[in-house]
Amino acid sequence: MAQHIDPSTPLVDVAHLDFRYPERALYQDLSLRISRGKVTVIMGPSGCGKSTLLGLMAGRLRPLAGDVCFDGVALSDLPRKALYRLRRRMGMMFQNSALLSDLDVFENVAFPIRENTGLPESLVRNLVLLKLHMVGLRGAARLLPAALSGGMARRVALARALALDPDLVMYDEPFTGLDPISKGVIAQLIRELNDVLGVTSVVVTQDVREGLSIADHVIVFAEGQIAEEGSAQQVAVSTQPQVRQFLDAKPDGPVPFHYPAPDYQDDLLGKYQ
Amino acid sequence: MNWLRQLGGGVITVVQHLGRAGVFLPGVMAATSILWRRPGLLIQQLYSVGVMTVLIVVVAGLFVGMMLGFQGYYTLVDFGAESSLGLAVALFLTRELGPVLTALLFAGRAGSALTAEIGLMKATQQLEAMEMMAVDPLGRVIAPRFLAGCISMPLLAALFSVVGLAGGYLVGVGVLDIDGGSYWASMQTGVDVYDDILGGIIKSLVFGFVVAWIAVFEGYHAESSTAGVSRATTRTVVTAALAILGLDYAMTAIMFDEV
Amino acid sequence: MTRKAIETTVGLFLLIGVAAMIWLALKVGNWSPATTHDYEVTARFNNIGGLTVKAPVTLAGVTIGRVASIGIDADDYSARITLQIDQAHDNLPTDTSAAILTSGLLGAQYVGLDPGAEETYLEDGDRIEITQSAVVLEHLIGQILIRTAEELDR
Repeated sequence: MAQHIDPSTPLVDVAHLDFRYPERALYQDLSLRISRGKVTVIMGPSGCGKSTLLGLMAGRLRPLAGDVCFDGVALSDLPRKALYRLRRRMGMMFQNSALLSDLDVFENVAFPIRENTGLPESLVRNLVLLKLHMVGLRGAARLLPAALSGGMARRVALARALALDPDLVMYDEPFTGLDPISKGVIAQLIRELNDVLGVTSVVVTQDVREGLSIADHVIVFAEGQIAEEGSAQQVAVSTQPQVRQFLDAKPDGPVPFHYPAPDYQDDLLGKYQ
Repeated sequence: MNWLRQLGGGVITVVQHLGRAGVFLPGVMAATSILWRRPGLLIQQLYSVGVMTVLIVVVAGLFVGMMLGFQGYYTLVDFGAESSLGLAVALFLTRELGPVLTALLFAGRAGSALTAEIGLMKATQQLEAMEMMAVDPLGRVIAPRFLAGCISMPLLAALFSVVGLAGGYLVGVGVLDIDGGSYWASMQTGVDVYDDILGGIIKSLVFGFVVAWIAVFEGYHAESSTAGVSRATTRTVVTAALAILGLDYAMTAIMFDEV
Repeated sequence: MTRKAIETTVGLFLLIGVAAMIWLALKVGNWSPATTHDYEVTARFNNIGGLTVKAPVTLAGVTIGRVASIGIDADDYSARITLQIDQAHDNLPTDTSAAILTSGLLGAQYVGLDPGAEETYLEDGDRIEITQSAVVLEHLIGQILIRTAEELDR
């Protein structure tokens, strides 16, 4: 289901995006491109809206200004049916796996296939087993999500995201909360599947080490703007203070340690009772 | 004057909530069309919403019927009219207690379960995941539950009334020694099929619709946290209870207005 | 539970629920699915007391119809009621009388028919000429008081 279009055009084109939540502003005049066939890693401190960006790219959220184009198609004016058709070319792996709790592993991976295609059951079965085998969980096909460890659940979510052979796969914090082994497994899967299947991957993460290790292209956010962009090596030697604080895990810097507070001495003396 | 501002703010919040519920409803009703093609979803929900509520409805109905038998007897016996016990029990049950009590039980058991289930699916991003897989959660998750609620309620209310009548019979004939024949015969003279039975059915249909609507709405719009889901569940039960009682008054006034 | 078991249980639930509704309508209510044909006759009363629409119309104590409507005759200020009688009982003589009676001591009021002796029978649209109004308690008490006063005078 991959499109045979000029590979140099970006798969996702974010142009002059404005977006904000009622409580806080997020993006102003943001532009970025996701190149086809590459793993793009988006990093930044918590609360800078990385997951929101994925929601905007998938058309789940509407920008206030600007546009998001998927493979040349602008998402914001699309009627629901057309948006859903486009979504079949996307796969998303959620931070908490978001597996359907009353279906077992097999049914979960089969879900998008059954709902979106009219394929016969025998074919569905083969597809599901193939996807599960790719993530190494074919033997767990009959377990319920409640019986899975965090890492296993993430892998099932990954298999499910790939069920329809999408063009774009989005990973929302795939490494958070996993043990080192599971992290390594996921990182390897993201990298290898991207190359083997020829998909485009967008990974949103705070894990600097794993993120840089699998990235073809890195985008670092700070305060709603792109602070640094480039290959993993380029970003790793960035001199930008926000990027440096993030990469080096420094407690104080552009993102301050102290939450804004009045003068310490005055506070102790009871001036702000 | 701060309390006035808070009161006004509270009222506005309630009205907003109501408006959101109103906007939500047509979408849900439109989404029920999917169930023609996929009846399995509806059947599954009829089971978890309807069948699972049968037990509590039957037990409650039995107790209420027995209570009516006692109370009715001791009230009527002073007028020498204890042979009309069947009529009294039947009228109370079919007109009021059947639909209203069943609706309250339904809201507490099935309504709260629906809200919690949907709210939890929202909090764990399952609904979002469905949207990403190009599956409309309104049709797949919400509509079957809503329709199951609408269908189950009148059936459960009828069951409640039937069991209640049996309970009244048990007490009246079994314990208080009324004539069994006149228990049933007195009903025939006074219970009107259109006013009483049909009125009761209409009430339970309306109740089912409203409770199902409230339950799926609160679940779908719950805040994505454990506290949020629990608050939504509480809101469902409280709002549904108030709505049931309020609508009951309104419908009773309309239906039993003329002789 | 298996898919089949769920479907069976749901089917049972639906059947029992609908059966309960039908049972209530038939056994408890007064619904008769076989629509019987009725014919209507009218009757005039000076006072109908507590008679209501749908009150039974009886012959020898057996219900053969219902009161269909109650109205006022604008000319002579009497009550005019319409009785709906089951077609099966079409042999009521034209001089049948109608009285408003009370069932029990404090019960609901109904119309009791007493057949006459004529050879011709009442048909749809006919009028019952001989009527006996309801006994109004206050009038009765008033009469007793008057009679008692007269007796005391003697």
